[in-house]
Amino acid sequence: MQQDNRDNGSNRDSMISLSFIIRELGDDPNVIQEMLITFREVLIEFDLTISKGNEQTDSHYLKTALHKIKPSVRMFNLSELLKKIDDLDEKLKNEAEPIYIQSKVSDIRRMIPLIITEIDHYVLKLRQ
Amino acid sequence: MKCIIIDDDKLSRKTLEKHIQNRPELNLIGQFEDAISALPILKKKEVDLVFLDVVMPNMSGIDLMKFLEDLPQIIIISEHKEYAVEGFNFNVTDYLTKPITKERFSSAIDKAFERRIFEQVKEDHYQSISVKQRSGYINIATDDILYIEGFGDYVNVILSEGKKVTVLSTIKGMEEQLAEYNFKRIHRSYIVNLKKVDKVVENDVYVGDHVIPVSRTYRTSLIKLFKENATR
Repeated sequence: MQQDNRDNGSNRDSMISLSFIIRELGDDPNVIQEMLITFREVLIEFDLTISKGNEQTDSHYLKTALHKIKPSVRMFNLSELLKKIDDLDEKLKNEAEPIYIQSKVSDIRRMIPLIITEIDHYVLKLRQ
Repeated sequence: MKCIIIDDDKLSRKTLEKHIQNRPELNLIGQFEDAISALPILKKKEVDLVFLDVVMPNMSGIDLMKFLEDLPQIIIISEHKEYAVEGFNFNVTDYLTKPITKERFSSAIDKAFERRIFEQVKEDHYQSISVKQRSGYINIATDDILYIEGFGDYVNVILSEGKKVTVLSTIKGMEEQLAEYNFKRIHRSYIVNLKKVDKVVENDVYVGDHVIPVSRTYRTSLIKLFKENATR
């Protein structure tokens, strides 16, 4: 679990932290909302990409997708997701058996709907 | 300063867009998710600064820099620090790692403005010539010169706004000194700044209110250069 983020609109149980966004881009709710919505789109694309990479057992494709998403994941301080991404990256580097790769991809994909739900919750809150 | 973003990472583009909005001296004129789509605007040379991602499908940021002959200022943005070294081979202005912080962004933009000022000063310096007068040497901006009239061992350099400078040089000497600039000898006694020529009619060249004779020897080559100059 992440640190306490009540000051920036989240709570003790949330995965997402808005600290980076607020510190670097300011606390304008419209900006925060825009960033969250964009991140939501990025996550959906990422989910599709790793799913496709997994089906095709294309490790280069998967690696590229992982490297692309990392800065966004760091931006929202999603350390648990980042750890899973690093684990998968490591497995790909070590050319692990497809079964291990598939398991790691599934771990990541399971987290995505939870994060999206949290994003939706924040966006709704910001709109109110 | 007109800038564009080339990055296939949507959130990175959005972050940059927000940072740019916080710097009113920057004008974001385009966002592209791949390098190929950005080529038309880059070829028009209307861009002063490019925020360029390195790892992109089809054409990487490094490939784009290799492809373009005349690069605007580039700020590389990437997750991979190892690309910084390669980027600096292309004389990039700065390198930002993702996610981009306000502090690093500001420092990169400050560098871009410093570099622009430096390049402008350098350009001004290169576009002036040093000429000898009785009292010593003076610099004349080539852009101020309308034409040069020779009188044996000295020449009159006719400048814009009705000014005139007498220089201790022959017309041939001036022709050699101005060879790398946009000037053309048009007569035994005249050299014109092609940028200032309004029209060529028969055997005369019109430069503002001045009418300068063209000799037959130079007429054909002058018209050719005049046409080329107009298309630039």
